[in-house]
Amino acid sequence: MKAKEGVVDLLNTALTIELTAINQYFLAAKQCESWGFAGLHAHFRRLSMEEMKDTEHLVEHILYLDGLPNLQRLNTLTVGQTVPELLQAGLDLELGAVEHLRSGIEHCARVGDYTTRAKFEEMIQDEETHVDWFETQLDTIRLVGLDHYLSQHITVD
Amino acid sequence: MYVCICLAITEAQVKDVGRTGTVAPSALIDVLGLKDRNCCGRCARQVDRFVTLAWEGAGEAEVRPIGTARLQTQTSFA
Repeated sequence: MKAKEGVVDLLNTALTIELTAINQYFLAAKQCESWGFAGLHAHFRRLSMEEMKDTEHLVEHILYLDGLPNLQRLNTLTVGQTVPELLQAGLDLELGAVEHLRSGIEHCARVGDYTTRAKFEEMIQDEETHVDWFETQLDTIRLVGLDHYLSQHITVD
Repeated sequence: MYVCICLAITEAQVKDVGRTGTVAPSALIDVLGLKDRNCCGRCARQVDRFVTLAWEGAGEAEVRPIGTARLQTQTSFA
């Protein structure tokens, strides 16, 4: 099926963001594990896997629209040296993803591609839950202090 | 925060380089090795980020009194 104007580009930009997220979160997971925070390792690892599923859906949909999925391009990874930096980096990435999906939804509505718009709307719901998780972690750190927060994540729930 | 992943360069290290007075893009690329063969080349393309950090470091240069006469800015050498 031939895509409407600009839709495949938007899907590929979303794909670039997802691929970046996979790598950034996987590294964050392993950094947390290496620092002794098994709980955070588990959560970041799960985030990375979720982004892999999103990647699969995007690749499928781009091929469905007779486009070429771009799995070669990556955005710059934001790699922290401390847990708060990892969390802030994740939050920034998710906010960027939400912003891109929002403009994608508007564009798809304008050109009349309601199927792709529906896919973006599904994705934006997931990304917003990620935004919420990162915001909650950073708020909790502010409330209870970093030491108390980290001690809660030394073991897996 | 890491600013270059291929070479594992941190913000703190770039600020240190800036503190020694190195803030020009070409000088930063040279000193930090941002065009090394093993690099992905991204940082040399985004050198503005490094310039900003180097200037932040330069702004933190020590100010030490020389004798009793007047203050003189002096940067430390790593």
